[in-house]
Amino acid sequence: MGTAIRIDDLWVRYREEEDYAVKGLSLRIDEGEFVILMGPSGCGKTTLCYTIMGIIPRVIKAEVKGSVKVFDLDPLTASPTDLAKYVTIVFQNPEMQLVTTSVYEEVAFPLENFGLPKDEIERRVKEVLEVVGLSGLENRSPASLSGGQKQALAIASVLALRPRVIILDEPTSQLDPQGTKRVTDLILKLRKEFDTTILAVEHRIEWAVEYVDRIVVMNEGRIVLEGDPKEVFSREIRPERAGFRPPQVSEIAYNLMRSGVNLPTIPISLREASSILRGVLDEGAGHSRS
Amino acid sequence: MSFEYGLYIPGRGVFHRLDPRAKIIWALTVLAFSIYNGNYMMNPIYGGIIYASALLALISSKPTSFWYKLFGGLTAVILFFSLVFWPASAPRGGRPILIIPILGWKYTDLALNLALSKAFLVLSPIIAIAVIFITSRPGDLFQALVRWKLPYRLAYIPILALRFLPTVIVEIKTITDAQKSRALELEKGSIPSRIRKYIAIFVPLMIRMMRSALELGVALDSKGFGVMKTRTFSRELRWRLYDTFMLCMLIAVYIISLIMLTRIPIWW
Repeated sequence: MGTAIRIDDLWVRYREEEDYAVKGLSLRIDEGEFVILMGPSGCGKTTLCYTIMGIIPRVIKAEVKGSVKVFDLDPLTASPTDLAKYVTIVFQNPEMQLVTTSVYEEVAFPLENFGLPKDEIERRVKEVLEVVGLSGLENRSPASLSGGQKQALAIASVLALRPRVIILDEPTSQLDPQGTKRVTDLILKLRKEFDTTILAVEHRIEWAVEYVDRIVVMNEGRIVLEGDPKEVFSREIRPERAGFRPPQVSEIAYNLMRSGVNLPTIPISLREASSILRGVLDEGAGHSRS
Repeated sequence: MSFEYGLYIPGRGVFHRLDPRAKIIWALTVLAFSIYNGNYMMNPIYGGIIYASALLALISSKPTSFWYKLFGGLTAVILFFSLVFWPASAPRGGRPILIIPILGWKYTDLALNLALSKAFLVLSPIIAIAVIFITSRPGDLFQALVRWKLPYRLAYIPILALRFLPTVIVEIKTITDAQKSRALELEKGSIPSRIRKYIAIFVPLMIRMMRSALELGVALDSKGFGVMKTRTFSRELRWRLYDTFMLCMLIAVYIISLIMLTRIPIWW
């Protein structure tokens, strides 16, 4: 498995800012990996994503030091045409990314921009709409879709270009539980069917904690914690200090452990928490019987 | 008020089925005839034609009452200002038809004709352009402009503006509601103080729009917009016999009325 994103000693400072937004950050994400980037607002998550996308310094002017590689491309110097085939971004508000007036046109739009022939466009649109579960809605207006469907459409529209890396900026922040499930299912499908590398910026983790390969926590422009979810949440994380919430089941476990309940491990999912608590309760019942 | 497709309202009427290029040519014809002002009778008649066209487009679109109110309001405002201001520059003479006692204003038939013709000079092209937007899918309009060799990056600007017009309207409503909930009373106070109060709407709107514009720019960038010199269209516009026939009919209405009007003796 190759490396999808490789960042070495990256420093980014916006124009007219004294302090660096990203400070000597190094990160490696493998091909096909699903990574969630967490941290308080202003910790440099978006700056990092924009740099990977080449938006910094091409669109947003900033001083950039260090090296960034997306496969064998350097986003800092690569042309947007080349870059769009490798890496793309979907923002939290799909409203501003849907630029046409029908589902079909929305998915066809990037393919038309790359001058693909009509037959190829039709084939890819059909394929992508099936993947994201929007088949049959080709003539619907994006405005008439639900929040989850809009986010799926925003992902579909960039997916049509078959990028190898997709950056999702808080993909579920504006969605109800149903919409969140749709996005989760879609991410799993993308990984399974296309081996797509996914980097998601998030404040909430519940929806992905069971599927994510790695969590990277940033603070003040640096990576402060990194590992699989089990590893990251094994030590108590206080939301008011960390700037993000651990899974609520983990928070319950932290509270229980603080009040003297002995748990074998910190659960990260509801399923795991149920089984741990059942064990603790059974053990307690056994003690009281004896 | 629903702006699901921007200003476009789906329908199956005469204008909906017409190629956008034919509609643009028709709108240019309307504009040309509105500017040509050889006979005072002409503009009210062209006004009648344009309203018939607008009604045709609206009936087939089945829009909300918003559009009827918009057209009605626009007509009322432009007619009012034309009737107030244009008679002052009307030629001397003519039959007086209305005298306003206190002000001493005298409206002659010539002044009224001048005011009406100036009103329709403004209204006709506006309504024709509105008919185009109501009955054409933005994507088709975009393609029509590109087919006429307009660079597609340039042609997309008005289409994008149209697409996001409803978003801006929603944003204005959200900000207004938020500010009203913070006790901002837009309806009270003198005109200068009301204008000052609108700054509380305008500033956050501009900030939100600038942020959105950046996101939109990045989104377009990641969709490869502008990376190639030319682009393809998955659904191609096709000029049909129907378009030629309908365009000829629409232009013929103007030409015939022009011929008739120039032969009818001026009645005043």
